[in-house]
Amino acid sequence: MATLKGLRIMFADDETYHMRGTIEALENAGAKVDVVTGGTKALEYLRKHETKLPDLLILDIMMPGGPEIQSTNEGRTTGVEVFKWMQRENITIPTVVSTVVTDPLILKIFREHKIPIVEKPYWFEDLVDQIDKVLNEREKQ
Amino acid sequence: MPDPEPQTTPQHEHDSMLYAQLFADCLPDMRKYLDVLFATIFQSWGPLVLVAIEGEDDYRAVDVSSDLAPFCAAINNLGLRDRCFECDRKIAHEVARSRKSFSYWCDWGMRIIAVPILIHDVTVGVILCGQKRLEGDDDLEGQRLLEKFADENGLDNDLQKELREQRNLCPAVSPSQVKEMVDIFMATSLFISQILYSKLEEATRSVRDADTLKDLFAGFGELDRNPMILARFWNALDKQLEKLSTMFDSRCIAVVLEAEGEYRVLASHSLERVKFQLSPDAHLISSTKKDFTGPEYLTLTGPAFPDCFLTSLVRETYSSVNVVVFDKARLGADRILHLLVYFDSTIPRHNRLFMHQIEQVMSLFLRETANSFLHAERVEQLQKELAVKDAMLLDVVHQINQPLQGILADCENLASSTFSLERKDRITRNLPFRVKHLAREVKSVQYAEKGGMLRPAMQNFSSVNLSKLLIEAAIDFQGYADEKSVRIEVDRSASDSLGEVLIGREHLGMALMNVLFNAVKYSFPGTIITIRPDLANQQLRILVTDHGIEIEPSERESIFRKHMRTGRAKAFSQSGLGIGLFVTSELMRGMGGDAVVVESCPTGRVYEQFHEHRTTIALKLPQSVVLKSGGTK
Repeated sequence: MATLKGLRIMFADDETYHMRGTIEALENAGAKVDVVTGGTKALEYLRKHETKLPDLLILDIMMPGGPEIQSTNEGRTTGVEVFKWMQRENITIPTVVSTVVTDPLILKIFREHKIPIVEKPYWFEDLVDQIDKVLNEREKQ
Repeated sequence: MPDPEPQTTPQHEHDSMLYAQLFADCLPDMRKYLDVLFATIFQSWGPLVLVAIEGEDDYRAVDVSSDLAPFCAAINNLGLRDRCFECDRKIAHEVARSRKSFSYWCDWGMRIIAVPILIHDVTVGVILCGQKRLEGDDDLEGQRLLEKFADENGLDNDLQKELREQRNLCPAVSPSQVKEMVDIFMATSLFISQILYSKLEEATRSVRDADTLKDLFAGFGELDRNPMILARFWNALDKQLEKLSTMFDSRCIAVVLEAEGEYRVLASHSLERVKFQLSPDAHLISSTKKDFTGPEYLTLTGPAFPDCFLTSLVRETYSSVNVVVFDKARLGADRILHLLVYFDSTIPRHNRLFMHQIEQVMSLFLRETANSFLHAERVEQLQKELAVKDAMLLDVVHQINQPLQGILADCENLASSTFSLERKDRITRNLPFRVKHLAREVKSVQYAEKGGMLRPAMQNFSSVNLSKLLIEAAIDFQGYADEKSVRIEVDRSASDSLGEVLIGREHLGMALMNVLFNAVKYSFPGTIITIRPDLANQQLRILVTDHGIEIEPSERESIFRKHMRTGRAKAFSQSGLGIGLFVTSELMRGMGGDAVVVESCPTGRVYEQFHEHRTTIALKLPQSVVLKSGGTK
């Protein structure tokens, strides 16, 4: 398993209670985790850290949108909208999608951009594997 | 002064003309049925004249559609032959007026039978048959009549001789055979009437069906956006036009146009077999090519009515083109749809039967298309239902997998050697609640699925210490509340005073958990949730008060409905199926009580973009459930 030491992770997920264990595991592995709990909050975070973007984004799909992210499907695709916004703004961060969503139509955009997806519930090891992949990919570029 | 009577064609005359036209149209069809009859007549050298009646004003309007009278045709003298045909017309006209069959002597001294063909008491045709010589003495009368005609008309000897010779070639029949022939022709007349009647009914029905076409056309708007309907549409049209082409041994092309200023050829049937060129007047919008082979979807502008350029479109393959503008329908405010059928000129344009057939075939096609629309609507409805179901399933999966993720991560962290004992201790304390939480979610889904299943739960009632139950619930939820820096407090003095209550422990526990879960979920960090029981208005109430998002007055009843989540709730947190409070309400009703929102009023504080509200939900039970008061300690 790769070390996550020193990695700054933006963790976009509203279920902080249930994700606490995962967040702690990431922190325990040496990462610094900033949690945002919705679409608009993710945008605000990215704007705030525009000059120094996080090293990694772990993105949930189903979360509240907020005033800036109007998900068409009652919050079921907020993560997709955040990702689209990032594309429009030319914000590129290695991303891993962490979600319960399995609908190929919703996930299509991530598959097209070769964004790895881990389905909840997942083993921490699986998450780290995917993190390794995107970070290695980033290094190659 | 009274208004002058409007000038209209009398109904009878109108009908007569209509039927006559129908009769003329049907002649080719009827021929098949008459073939046997003709064969019989030829065998007996019996001539037959089939005439069509058009109106009753003038015998000259009678159309000798089928003249099979060999005697008349055999006369070389053109004047006499014309007289013979004129005689047929006059007799047919007479029969039409009287609507009766009769037998008479013709100028050549032969017996003729005239039988009307009637529909609704209107003569639409006449069978003239006979020109038979009678046997024996009866023939003498015929010879006398011929000679009288010859004298009166000054026929020269050669002509008289020819007439006599021709007359002698005709077979002679007995008067009884004439009578039999009358019977046969009467039956034939009835048979023809039947055919005509059925044709008329068919045509009328198709016209009636055609009246509904405009409604059917209304669905054509769907063509644009639904490829499945489009495919079925053309498939149906292809089939029907093929029938039409076979029926009339003619080529037909159907073109559907949408026109309002510009014309859009939605598609053209049979064009895969027809190479055509656009008229120079037609200006293409959607394509630059002018030659097309195969079905095309074009947008183009034309000089005037689409007939103009489309006529030139097909003229290349059709020496002469007829166009039937079958129907037009206005779609919404700005779209007009034309369905045109092109056919080659071997079919007379005024052929009413053909028109009826087109209408019939097209109405059949449109019915199929309408079915396609209905089918598509059903599919659409099904897709909507599936989408709702998918969304619901996604929510359920979300609701169950999230706590599973928490449990899984905790288990992994417990097993990890890198986690401190202090952390592991905290995880261990929280883990039971996580499992309970998961169980609660699964049970909520299960309860919600069963609907109002909890009413017959009276037998599960038992004596429960209310204070203990409330404290246990608060402790259970504190781990979850800690995550949000929310504290849960139980008003011990109030709960201890109530002592034992007779309730369904599991059900009240579940109802309370759901309310508490919501309270924590929608509380703002740093606030306190209080649980306080009281007795008021003959009711035991368990009041849960939190400080978080508002429940608007209009939503205070609806939040207890299944799958109801308010806009604020969705904006604040994505998780939740909207069934927790529904289940709570059902559970409380099952115990003879209820769940209600008591208050949701602003505190004046703001958290992020939300105004903080103090919200209290009451779980109500009849006071009779209180077994014994514990007293104040």
